[in-house]
Amino acid sequence: MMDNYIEATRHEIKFILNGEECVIEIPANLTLVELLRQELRLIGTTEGCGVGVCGCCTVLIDGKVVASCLELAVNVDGKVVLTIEGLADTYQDSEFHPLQDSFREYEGFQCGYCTPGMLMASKALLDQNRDPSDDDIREFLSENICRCTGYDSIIEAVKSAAKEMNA
Amino acid sequence: MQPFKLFLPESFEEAIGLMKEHGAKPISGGTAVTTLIKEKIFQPTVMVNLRKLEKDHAFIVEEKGQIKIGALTTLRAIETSDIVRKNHPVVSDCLSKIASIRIRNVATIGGNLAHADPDLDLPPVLAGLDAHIDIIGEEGERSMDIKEFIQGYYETDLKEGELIKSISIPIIPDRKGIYLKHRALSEADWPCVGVAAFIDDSPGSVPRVFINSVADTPIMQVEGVEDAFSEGITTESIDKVGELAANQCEPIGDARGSVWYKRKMAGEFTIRALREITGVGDSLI
Repeated sequence: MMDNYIEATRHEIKFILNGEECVIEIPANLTLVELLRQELRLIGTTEGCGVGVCGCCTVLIDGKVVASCLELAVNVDGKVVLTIEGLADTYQDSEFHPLQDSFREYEGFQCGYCTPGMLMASKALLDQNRDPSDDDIREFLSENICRCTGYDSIIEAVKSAAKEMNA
Repeated sequence: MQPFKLFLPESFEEAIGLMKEHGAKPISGGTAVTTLIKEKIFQPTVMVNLRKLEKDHAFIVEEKGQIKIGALTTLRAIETSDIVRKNHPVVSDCLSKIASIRIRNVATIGGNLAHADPDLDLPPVLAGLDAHIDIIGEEGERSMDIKEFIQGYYETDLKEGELIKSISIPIIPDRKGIYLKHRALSEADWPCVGVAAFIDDSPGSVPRVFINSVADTPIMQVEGVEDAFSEGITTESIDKVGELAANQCEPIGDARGSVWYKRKMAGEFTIRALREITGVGDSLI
């Protein structure tokens, strides 16, 4: 039986994670969310469906939203990865990113499981559109699923953060 | 995910050599393949990861009357490309309806087409634009119409050791097209039925209709359209083509609808698409 066992190849990858260089050797079959949570113990990124549908595990790779449950970790070699742990550091010298503050203020979460994905997707939206309409926000976040269904407060929170960042 | 050996070539030649040597399948954006591995439908022991080819093969250029798109170009890059939107807004529109932005940021057009899932949104649209698939293999390069390229259920004309190198879409200024995607479940879901219809702005031009999700390939061309329109394009003859579409398709019943429902929808969305591109009858969308 063990004759059939395939050992995954191992690969050294080097990438920028939340502003710092990260060099690590990983097996080929490791997904990015597994690398973050299991190997690097960055447990802010949550895994929901595991097949790219729910949006919980959204992180930014080179500034773009990506489902980290479907991305092989080897593919971030040479890239810039931003997770929820690095979000606050992208904004001036404040303790929290305006999105984090506004999600708290508007109660843009209930159980909180989808929140890291919501925040990262919102960050990507505001990076490309500083003055999004309700429709822009709805469209961009349409595939981030919140099963507590507090969507209205999330949209209010994103709008408020945009206002704060434009002030 | 189960363990596998992974190679990371930096050129098509190297990738083809590795695929031949190890009998390995390629993985590109991986949004479909990774899901299949996780669900244990696909259990590879070795794979060739094409991601490093994006350095040279993720591009969209306008040349010699066509849009050429490198195989490693992401769906989102094509969707937001000015070249594509200007020449073929129907392609941008179709792409915007696929899955979610975070999937389109990673999924590549080469991987998308080689996958040949009967539910794919893009093939019926590319068929209506007479797109060609440029293939590279050990023996050299060849090019073929997408309608011949996709041959059956998850089946393409790609031979062992061949890869999609690029896609060429002719620029046809007087061709008007529309893609209507009917989703029975969520916004991000695969189509229940997707209908692409095209017509050229020239006298006597007959519309063509391509439908996905209702046959063993994503490109089911409705036949007999010319006959149906022989006496001109009217709401009655459009209804007749809707009937042809409903009768010709061979859907399977699943969570997105029964066979009866999908047939009904194939007919209905054919009528809606045809009314829209021909301007005959009131708009139904």
